[in-house]
Amino acid sequence: MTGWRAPTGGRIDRSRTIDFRFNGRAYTGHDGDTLASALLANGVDIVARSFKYHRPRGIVAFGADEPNALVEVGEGSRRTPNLKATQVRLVPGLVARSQNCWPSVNFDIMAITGLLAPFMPSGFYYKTFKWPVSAWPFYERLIRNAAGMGRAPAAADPDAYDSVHRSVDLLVIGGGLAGLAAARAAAQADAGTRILVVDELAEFGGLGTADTAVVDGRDYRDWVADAVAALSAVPNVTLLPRTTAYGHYDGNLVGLVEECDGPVRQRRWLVHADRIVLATGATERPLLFGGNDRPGVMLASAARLYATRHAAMAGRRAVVFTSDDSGYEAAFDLRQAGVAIAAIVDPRAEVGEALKGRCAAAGITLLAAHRIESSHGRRRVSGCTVRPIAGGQPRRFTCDLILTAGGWTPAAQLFTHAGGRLRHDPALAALVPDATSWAGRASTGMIAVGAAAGVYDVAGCLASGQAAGRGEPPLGIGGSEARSPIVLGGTGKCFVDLQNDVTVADIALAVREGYRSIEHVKRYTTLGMGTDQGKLAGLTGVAVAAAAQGLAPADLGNSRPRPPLSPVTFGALAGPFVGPLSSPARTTPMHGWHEAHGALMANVGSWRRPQLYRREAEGDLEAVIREAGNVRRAVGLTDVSTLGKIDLQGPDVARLLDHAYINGFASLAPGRCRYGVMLREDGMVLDDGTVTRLTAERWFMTTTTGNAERIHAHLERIRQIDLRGLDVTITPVTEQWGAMAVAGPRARDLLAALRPDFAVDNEALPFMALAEGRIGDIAARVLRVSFSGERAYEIYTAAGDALAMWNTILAAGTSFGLMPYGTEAMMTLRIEKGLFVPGFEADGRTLPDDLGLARMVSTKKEFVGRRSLRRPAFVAPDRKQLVGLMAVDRTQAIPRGAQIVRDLGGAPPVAMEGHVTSVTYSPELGRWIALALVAGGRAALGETRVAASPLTGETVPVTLCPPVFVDPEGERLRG
Amino acid sequence: MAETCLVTRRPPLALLDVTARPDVWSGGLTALETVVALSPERRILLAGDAADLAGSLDAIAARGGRGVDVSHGWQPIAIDGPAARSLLERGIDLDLAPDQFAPGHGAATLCARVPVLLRAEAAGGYTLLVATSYADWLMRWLQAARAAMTRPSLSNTGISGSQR
Repeated sequence: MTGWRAPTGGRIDRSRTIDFRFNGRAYTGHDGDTLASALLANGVDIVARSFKYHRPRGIVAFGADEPNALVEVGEGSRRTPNLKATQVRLVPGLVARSQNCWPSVNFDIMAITGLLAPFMPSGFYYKTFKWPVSAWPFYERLIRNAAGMGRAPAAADPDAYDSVHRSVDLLVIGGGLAGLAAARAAAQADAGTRILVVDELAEFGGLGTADTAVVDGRDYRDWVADAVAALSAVPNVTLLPRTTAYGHYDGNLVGLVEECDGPVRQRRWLVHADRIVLATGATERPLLFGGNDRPGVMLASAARLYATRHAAMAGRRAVVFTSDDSGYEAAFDLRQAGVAIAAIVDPRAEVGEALKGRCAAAGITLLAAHRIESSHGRRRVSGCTVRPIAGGQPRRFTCDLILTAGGWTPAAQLFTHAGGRLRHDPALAALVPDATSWAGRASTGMIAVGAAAGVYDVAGCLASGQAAGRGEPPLGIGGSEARSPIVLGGTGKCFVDLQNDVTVADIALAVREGYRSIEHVKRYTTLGMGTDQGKLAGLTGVAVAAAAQGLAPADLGNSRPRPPLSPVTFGALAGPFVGPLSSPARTTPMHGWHEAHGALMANVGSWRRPQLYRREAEGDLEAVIREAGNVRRAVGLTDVSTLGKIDLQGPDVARLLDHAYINGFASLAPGRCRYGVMLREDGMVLDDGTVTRLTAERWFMTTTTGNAERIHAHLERIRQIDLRGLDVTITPVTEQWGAMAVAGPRARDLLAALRPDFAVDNEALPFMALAEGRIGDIAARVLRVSFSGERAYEIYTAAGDALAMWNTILAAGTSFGLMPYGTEAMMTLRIEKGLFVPGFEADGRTLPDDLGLARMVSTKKEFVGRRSLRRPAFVAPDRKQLVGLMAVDRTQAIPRGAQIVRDLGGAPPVAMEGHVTSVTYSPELGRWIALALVAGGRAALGETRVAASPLTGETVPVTLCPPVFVDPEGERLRG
Repeated sequence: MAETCLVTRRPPLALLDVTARPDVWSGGLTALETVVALSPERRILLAGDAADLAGSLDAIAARGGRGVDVSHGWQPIAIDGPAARSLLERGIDLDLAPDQFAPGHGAATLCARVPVLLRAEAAGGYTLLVATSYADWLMRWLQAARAAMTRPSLSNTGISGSQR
C-alpha cells in the first residue's frame, strides 16, 4: 500500500466523493477519477494476474496502452469483462473485480504456473499437446478451463446500443493540440466544412502536453478551452468526447465507438470521411530489466499524468529509468508533487548539461551510462539494482516505484488498417506513418499529425495540425542523427509483452527455432496479441527480435496492426439489430389474422409464415393431418402472398420466357396459365412456377417464395446479356399483390358463393386458366392452378385488399367446411402429389430428368442450361432420381433426412444409394410417406431399401414407389 | 435534451412504376411527379388518386411507356421533426446532409437492411417508402432506433466546465 492522494492539485472534484468497490472492498474516489487513478490513490498495488503465469500485476500505463489492469466491471447482466481500469470512468456505486485469479488477486492458486515457467517456453502449447493424439479431448478440456480472460455475463444485455452513419468532409481522430489545431484551421479556411473531432477521453486537450506548457503564447488549458469553445460555435463541427476510433476501412470509412450515459450504453458511428487527420498522439515505450513486471513498475509519463490529472501518486520514492529527456521532466514534476526521486538512471552516456544542472539543483542523483538490472520486492517493488552499462559494481536503491521512459512511439496503428505503412524513422528511433504509402491510391488516405507523426514539440504539433487542417501536404519531421530504440534487458524475467507474459527469452527462443519474420515471431509467441494489441510491446518486441537475429529493427520491419484497434463490444456491433429486430422480417397482409388465430409462425427465408393453426388439445401433427385432410375432403384456404410475382410487358416476352424455361411459352394463349421449370447454366433445376398470359403483350409470372429476387435478376440478365435487344419490361410486383389459395373439391362452390362478376364453371375457368374481375367490391385476378392436386384457385388482390378478401372467403366458407391451412399441410399435400420444391428435391444437384420432368424439356428451342444437359454424366442411368417411399410397416414413420441403403448387412462403409428429401404422414393414405432421391430409383420401383438415420439411430425398411401418391391421372385438379 | 422526430405510417400513395426509353421521357411522357428516378428509363411516379392512376397508365401506354400500379407495394412512412435526418442516419448510409440530399431528392437504398425509396420533402422531413412486407418490422426498428437516439450534449461530458 504505497500509492496516495496528494492533498491538492489534479483535475478531480474533491467536493464529490464517489464510493466504489474493488474485489469486494469498499473504497472512495472523486469525480474525475478513473478506476485506475482511484485504485492508485487508495494504495492498491495488485490489480490483476497475468495471463500465463498468474504473476501479480499493477497499473503500468494511463490509457488504452495498459497491458495489465484488466478488470470486470459491473454485476449480473451488466458485467463487462476485460476492461482496462485506466479507461473506466469512476461512477458512484461502481463494482469491479480482478480477473484471471482464484480465490483472490492477492492469493492466486494458479500462480503455481509461475514455478512451471521453465517448462512452458514459447510454443509450449504446440510442442506439448500434439501427442498422443488420443489425449486431445483431455487436453482440450484442460486448456479451455485454463484459457480465457474474464467471464461473459450469462443473461441478456439489458442496455440499448445505438448506431449511426455519418458523412463528413474532415474527420479528426484525437483532440489534443495537433487535432484541435487541424480542426480549427479547417473550420477557419471554410466554415462550411463538415468536421467531426473525436477523442477517447472525456476532455479534449490530449495527454501529451504538460499542464504547464505554453501554447501559442497562452496557457495550455486556456488554449484548449478556447479551441473547444470556438469549434463548438461552428454549426458544421461536431465534437465527440469519449469516442474511440477502432478501425479504418476501404473508402475512408472509420468505425467509432462512443461511450454514452443512460439507457444507451454505447453508440457506434460509421463515418465516411473525405479527409482524415490522425492525431492520436504517441505511446511511451518501457525499458526492460529483470522483474520489470513487478507492481510498482510504471511508465514515467503515466505516473506523471496520474499525479497531475488526478493527484494520485503511484508511490513515495521512485527510481526513474530513462533513455529519453521526457523521463527527466516526469521526475521533476513528480518531485514537485511530493514523490521523492531516489535516482535517475540513464543508459545514455551523454546527458544534456541543462538536465544535469536541473538534477543537481533538485538534489537528484543522476547515473548516466547506467541501467537497472533488476527490481526487488515480493508483492511490490521494494528496490532495484543498478549497474554501469560498461560493467562494474552494482548499486542498490530502496524505492517503491520504478518509472521507465524509453522514448515514444507514434500511436499510429489506425494508419495501417486500410493499407498505409509505417516506417522506421532513424532519427526518432521509432515507427512513424509513411505518408508516401498512399501514393497512387484512389483514396486520399489519412494524414498523421503531431505526436502521431513523430512531432513532439508544441510548435511542431500546432504547425503540422494546421497544415493538415488546411489540406496541405504533411510536414517533414526533423532530426538527422540515426539511432536505434533502446530496450535493454537484465537478470531474471524481462517481460516484453506484459499481458501475454512474453519475455525476451521467449522471443530469442522463437528466433532460435527458426522464426525470422516479426509476423511469425508474433504468432508463435503471442507477442502483441492481447486486448491491448501490443501497444506497449510493439516496437520493443521488434527490437528484441531484431537483436536476436543481429539485425537493426528497421531491417526486420514491423507487424502490421489491423482492426479493431481496441476491443469493440458485440452490443456496439449489433446496435439496434437485437431480439426480434435482429434481422428484417417480412409479413403478409394476413399476418395479424394468423397470429390472432393460433398460428404457429415459422421463418421461411425472410418471411414469417403460418405453419399450422393449433386448436385446443390438439398436437401439431394432428393439426397438420386435420388441415390437409380437410383440403382433400372439403376445402381449405392458405396464404400464398409470399410467392414471387413479376409483371412482364412487351412484344418479346414470349422469347424471354422460352429462353428462361425448359418448356415453351410462345404458344400460350391470352387468358391461360402454364407451369414452367427454369434451369441454371449448369443444367440444374433452379426454380418453378406459373406464367399467365394476361394479354398479347402482358404476362404475370410467379416464382417460389425464396427465389423471387434471384429469378428477377435471372430474367434481367437474360434480357440484358443473353438476348440483348429484347423489348421487354420486367417489373417485380411481389409486394403489390396479396394472394391466397382456395383448394379442395368444394373450392369451386365456395368461389361461386363469393358471387364474382365472372364465370367460374369448368368451361369458363378450366384448369390452368385465368379470370379477372371483381369479387364483391374487390378487384381480383384468379388463376386456376394447384399445388395440392385438388381443384384449386389462387386469388390475387392488391395487398391492401387481401385481408378483406381473406375474411370474405372465410365468412362464406363456413357452410362449405372451409378451414385455413398452413405451410405444413401445404407440404403434406404436395408430397402426396409428388411435387418437388427447390431446396428439398431440387437441391442444386438435380436435373429435370432426375425429377421426372424429361418430357417437359423442349427440343425445339435454346434455353438456359440446355447445353449442360447433354454432358455424359448427366445422362447416366445411375443418377439419383425422384421416387416415392412407403414404410414396409405402415405404422412406422420414415426418418427425416435419412440415407437410403440397400440393406443393413455387410461391413462398413455402407454404400449410400440416396437420401430422403421430404417426409409426411399422409392423411389420404393413412401412413407415412416420403419423397427421396435414389440412384437408379425409377428402375427399382417396387424394391425394398432401408432408410437409415445414424443421427437418430433409426432404420426403417421402405418400398420404392412412384412419387405421385394421390390422383396420378390428375382428375381431381382438372375436374 | 434529445431532439425529437415523429415516425408516422401514412396511407398508401397512388404510385406507378414506369419504364420508357429516355427519348420518350424527354418527349413529355407524363406530367406526374417523379418520386425517384431509378434509371434513365425507369421512374416511380406519384398520381393523385386511384382513378388518376388508371387514366395515367393508359395515357403512358399510348405514348410508348409501360407502367405498373405499385401503390400497394410501397408503404409510406413520414419522418418529420428536427431529428428526422438523425433518425434516418441510424439506418441509411447515404450522405443526407441538406446540401447533398436536398428537398426533392430521392434515392433507392436500404434502411436497416430493408429496401426503401427515400425522398426529402420540400416542406421538410422525409418520406420513406418501404417495401410493404417489411413495413411492420421497419416501423418497430425505427421506434427502437428513435428511443436509442438520445444525444449527449457537451454540457454533460465535462468539457465546458472543467476546461475553464
